[in-house]
Amino acid sequence: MMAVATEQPAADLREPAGWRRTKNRVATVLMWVAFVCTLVPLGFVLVTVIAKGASAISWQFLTKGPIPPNVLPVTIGGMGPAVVGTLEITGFAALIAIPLGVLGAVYINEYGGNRALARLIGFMADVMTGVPSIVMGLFIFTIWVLHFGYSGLAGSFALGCLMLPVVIRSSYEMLRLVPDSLREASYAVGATKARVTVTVVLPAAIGGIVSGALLAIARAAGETAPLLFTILVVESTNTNLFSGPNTALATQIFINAQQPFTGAQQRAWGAALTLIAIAFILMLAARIVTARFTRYTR
Amino acid sequence: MEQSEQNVAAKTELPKPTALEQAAPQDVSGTPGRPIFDVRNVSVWYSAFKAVTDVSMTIHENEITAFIGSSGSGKTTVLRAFNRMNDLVPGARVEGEMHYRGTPLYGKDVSPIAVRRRIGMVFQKPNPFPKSIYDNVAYGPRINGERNRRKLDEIVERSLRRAALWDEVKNRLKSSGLALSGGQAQRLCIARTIAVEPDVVLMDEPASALDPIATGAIEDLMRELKKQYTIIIVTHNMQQATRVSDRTAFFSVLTDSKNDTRTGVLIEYGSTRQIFEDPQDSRTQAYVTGRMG
Amino acid sequence: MSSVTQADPAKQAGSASPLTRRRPLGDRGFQILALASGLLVLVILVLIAVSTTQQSTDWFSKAGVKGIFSTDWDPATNHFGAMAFVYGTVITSVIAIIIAVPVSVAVALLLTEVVPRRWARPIVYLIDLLAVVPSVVWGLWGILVFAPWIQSSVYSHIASAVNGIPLLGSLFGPPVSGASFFTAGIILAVMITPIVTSLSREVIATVPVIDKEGAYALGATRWEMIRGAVWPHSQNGVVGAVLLGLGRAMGETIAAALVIGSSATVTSRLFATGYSMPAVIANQFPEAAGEWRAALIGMGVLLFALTIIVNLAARGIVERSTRRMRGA
Repeated sequence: MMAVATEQPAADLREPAGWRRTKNRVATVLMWVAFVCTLVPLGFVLVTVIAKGASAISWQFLTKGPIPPNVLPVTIGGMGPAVVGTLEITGFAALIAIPLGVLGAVYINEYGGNRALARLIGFMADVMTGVPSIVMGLFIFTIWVLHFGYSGLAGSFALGCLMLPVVIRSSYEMLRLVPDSLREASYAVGATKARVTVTVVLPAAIGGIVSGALLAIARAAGETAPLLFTILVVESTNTNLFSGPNTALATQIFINAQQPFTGAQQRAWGAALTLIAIAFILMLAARIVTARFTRYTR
Repeated sequence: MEQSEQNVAAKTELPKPTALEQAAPQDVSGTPGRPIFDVRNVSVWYSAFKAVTDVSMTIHENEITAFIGSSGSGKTTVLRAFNRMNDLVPGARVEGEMHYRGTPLYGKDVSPIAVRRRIGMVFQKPNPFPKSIYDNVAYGPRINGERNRRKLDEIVERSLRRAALWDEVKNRLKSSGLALSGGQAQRLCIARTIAVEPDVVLMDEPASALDPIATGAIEDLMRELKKQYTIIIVTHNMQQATRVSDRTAFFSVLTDSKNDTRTGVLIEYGSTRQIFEDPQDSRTQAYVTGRMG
Repeated sequence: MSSVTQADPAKQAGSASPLTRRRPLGDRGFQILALASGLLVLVILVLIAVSTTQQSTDWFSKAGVKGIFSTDWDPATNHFGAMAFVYGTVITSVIAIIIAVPVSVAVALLLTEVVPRRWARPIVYLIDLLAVVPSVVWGLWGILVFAPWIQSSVYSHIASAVNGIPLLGSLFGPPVSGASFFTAGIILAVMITPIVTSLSREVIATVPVIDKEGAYALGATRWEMIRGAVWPHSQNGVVGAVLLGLGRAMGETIAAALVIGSSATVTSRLFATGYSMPAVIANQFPEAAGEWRAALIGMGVLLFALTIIVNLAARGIVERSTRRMRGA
């Protein structure tokens, strides 16, 4: 039995006024619509690249060269030189940028403390992520190419400059998450700061650092503008990174996209599919590393 | 022990009140002592964890009811069940019956939004919005459709007066609510809560983040407010419970060592005087005497 | 930034104790290495400014301020006015922001307030996929697929419909081209959406849960809670995210170069072909020499300055407003 006071009306706890509910629903619907809007272009691009590029892809396409300006069928020649170029140039860029970036983050987080210099460097690294890639290309042109000529190395420098601030930022975030108690425990047994950092802190953060690096590499592999001014796009393989012009997938796509010839365009689609595949694989690898190997997450 | 006045009047089917009659719960004349909440065998689950088991009690109108007990005893969980704040936690589930003025709180047609307008809440840590003092208090009325500037001014002043904050802020209503001291901010939150003319005000340790002077101000405020609202307060401070509350409910943790589980239960519920001076359950006695040397 | 307040134990012992010597060489060396890597950032930024400016003095000195901002760009006659490109950069970036910001903020709100935690991660992955697609692929698709389609299905209809109407006509009237300011704006919008979304999400996620509960406790619907508790907190952060997106859009080169139409004209007609600073640099650099090249590098300098300013402004605004709202 319930203690119901009979003089009072039962409380009406139904839905609030209609217009409030409608506003809420409309807002939610709009948010979902926005989400769909972002997926639509993605879907179109992927579908188109796969559809148009698949027919061009073959082992020969990926490994043989040279790259003809416009010849049909597509199976004559291939993007081999560009694939080699992309791997070389991006690989070397990663080799320079990642260690330097991690060390830079180590400085800011482990040695910098609250000092103005550390804060300035961190701030400027963030600002540097916003520098347009074309400016990096021009920079390397003026400072290196003018003196030493075009080469894959110059391209690596340009890409490295793009990757550096990104690696610093992501590594810094990872280092920050490593709890101080780990460091203190290591100091307590008499280790030097360098040893603490290298043997305890870095391994603890390694998962996040690696995944951040992979993402930076993925971004660099797709960059075109910096390479335009540094490697002087050519059509044949150049395995010598340090001398002579080179080529890469991204630049090839750029050039071929502007040709009116179907043969060239076909090759562009094929190269695009290859490039996207590379980027996706790197991104996937980054996610796997994050999932399996990161110990400390936000 | 203390059981609600069993009003064995038959449950009459009342005609659904018109929208106008629903306008303000103030229309219902407050009768101190009359039951307002009827809680029967309520258990609250968070996914697989049973936070609170089998609570039954009756809350009375225009009284201050205090929930006391150790951490994890479920008092805050039960409090938040009254205004369906647990709904915001994914996986939360309420079993049992909870009736507010005859209507089941967790009934099928019941909107949590309407519930929360009637049953307001003040939190442990004062949480004014990053808006002006005026806009803080006006927020509730505004979302309920009040647009008339003069009416809003009226509501803001009335609420701030009732919360004993008007004199201190009347000249700076446009300044940020975040700039107030802890005690003032809490009174602002109280003003904000009563601006929507609720029926019940729930308070989750409202003074625990405040200094003793601010605490005293809040307690004075509560005694004033109970004339118009029904108040349920969760508190860690037993002296506070004795100072302000009419009834007290003591919760505790029940451990089941066999299954290695813990859950909160209501041990004893009665008038404050009885709970503190003549506790019937040994656990209640242990708790209230342990602190009150 | 974690500051290890623990004093260096090796230093602490000082010269009194026979157990310690001066800091081992390896430790010092490592610190210097780390410092050098950090300083590299500053060095590079300074070098960029210096070397690019140096290479473009030819243009700056010969053309003068008036020359630089004239609309006459004609390498054949040694006229290098950059106005058309500055205009194009600004217009396309503005279009990109207008399209991308509401969408990005809406998605950020969706992820933090509406979608249950479990589904948030896969949705974020999907948005991030947008960022993984390289710029040049967006450009390729843009020029070969998107531009022709949008010209025939959308632009031509709109243009003929508004032709003659005062304001709308001058914005959306003929001439119409698939490769145009507007198309570039759309592609840029798609490209900056991931970064604006992710930054907005970070900002919105910092709103204290207790504020949201406060709004709900007053009987607010979710939308009312967002307007009352979430938005005031995240306003400034979102402005910062928008500015950062703007910076990205301005500097985006390749996609713009492919779909903007490559014609140096200043016109209000958004469906017409145009040009932007990064695009002209990318397209004309290989053949350029002498003052022509200096002009292109000079525009690179302008671009650099612009993006730095926008980035600094973004962080400054966020900084200052968060301080104000704290009631300080």
